[in-house]
Amino acid sequence: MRYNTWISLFLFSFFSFTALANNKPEQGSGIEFSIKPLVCIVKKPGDACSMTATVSWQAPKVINSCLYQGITKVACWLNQNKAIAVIEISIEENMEYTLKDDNHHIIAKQLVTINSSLAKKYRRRLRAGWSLF
Amino acid sequence: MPIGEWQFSIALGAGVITNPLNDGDNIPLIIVPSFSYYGEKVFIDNNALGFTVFENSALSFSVISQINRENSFFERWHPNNIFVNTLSNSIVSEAQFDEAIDAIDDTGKTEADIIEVELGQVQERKWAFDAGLQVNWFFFQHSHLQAKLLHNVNNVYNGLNAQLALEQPFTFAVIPNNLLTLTIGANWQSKAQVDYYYGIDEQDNVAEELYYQGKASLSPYVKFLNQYAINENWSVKLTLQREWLDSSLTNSPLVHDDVIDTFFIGVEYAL
Repeated sequence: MRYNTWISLFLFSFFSFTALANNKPEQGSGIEFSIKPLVCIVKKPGDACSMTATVSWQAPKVINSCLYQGITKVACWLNQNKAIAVIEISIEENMEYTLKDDNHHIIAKQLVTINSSLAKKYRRRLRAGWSLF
Repeated sequence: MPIGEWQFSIALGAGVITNPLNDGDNIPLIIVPSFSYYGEKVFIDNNALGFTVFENSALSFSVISQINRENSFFERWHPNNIFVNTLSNSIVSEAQFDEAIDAIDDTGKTEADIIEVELGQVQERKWAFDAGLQVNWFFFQHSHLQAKLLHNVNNVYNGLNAQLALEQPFTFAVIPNNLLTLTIGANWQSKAQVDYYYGIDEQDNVAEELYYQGKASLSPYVKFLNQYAINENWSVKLTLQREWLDSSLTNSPLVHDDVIDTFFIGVEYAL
């Protein structure tokens, strides 16, 4: 009578790495940068967000600068030390807005987040946890 | 479960589901994927599809369909077959069948001496799909009673089966992020199901003395599942389960073991 026992050990390893872009705003640049509102409300989680926001910035000296939504250029200003602009925001996830100078250095940044007015809904799991059949 | 979101996880480790059949391959557990989706009413949970017709804080009634377990013991679980779809594979090759017949013919024993039938000797069994009603009752402190009554729907054995399970999770203050779940339950199989999978008749090409007609069976089980969360995605899992097979199953010449054991230890990554 044959009785097969088949047990195998599986060794595994994993490696992870994190690559972070080193685009810290210049320290002591004295830039005041704001976006209002910073929170976009959607009906339920996962919905895309569209809203009108006011962007303003002020620098201690005259600069050339551009506003980016992620990696997309939104607006630029030449030889200004302050500006106010109204922009249309259309995002599907939390989005970082950055102000960059002539050399593409980030001189200020703000995060626009999405919140849902309806809390995520849950229900109980109806099957046995971790069971093949 | 968050409504409207798919949940995926994959467990890697070492484990086995023992096979109670003569010459049956144990089912290796090395990579175990898991997925589920719970909508407002519809749910998909691994091998089951369900529609919840009523649900409140304590009770839930659902219509479900699921794959029947029994045929998994009649499959060939060689390592090369693990990662392919074995649902439609034939369980016995012609060569294996001939070998089995020759083995019987050449032993010199009389047919009456042979009291066991090996998996390779009998006709192929098929995968069955069942559908029926599932009731979930949540009570006391996270206790969960689940009852299912199902009928075969793909014309394989044309009978009923039922499952009852009482699940109780435990947490311990001294071991944060750890969840221990103990389950006691029982699997009931109708005469039709026992007969189809474990019965032996003229279609199986074995001596008439070995023919077997089963009765309905009730097989109790206990299950121990421990999950330790390392972080949001990774957890360590240990599961142990033993099912004691009813005599109407163990009396079958096809069945060698009185129990079905499940063991798995590994890590799980949830997406």
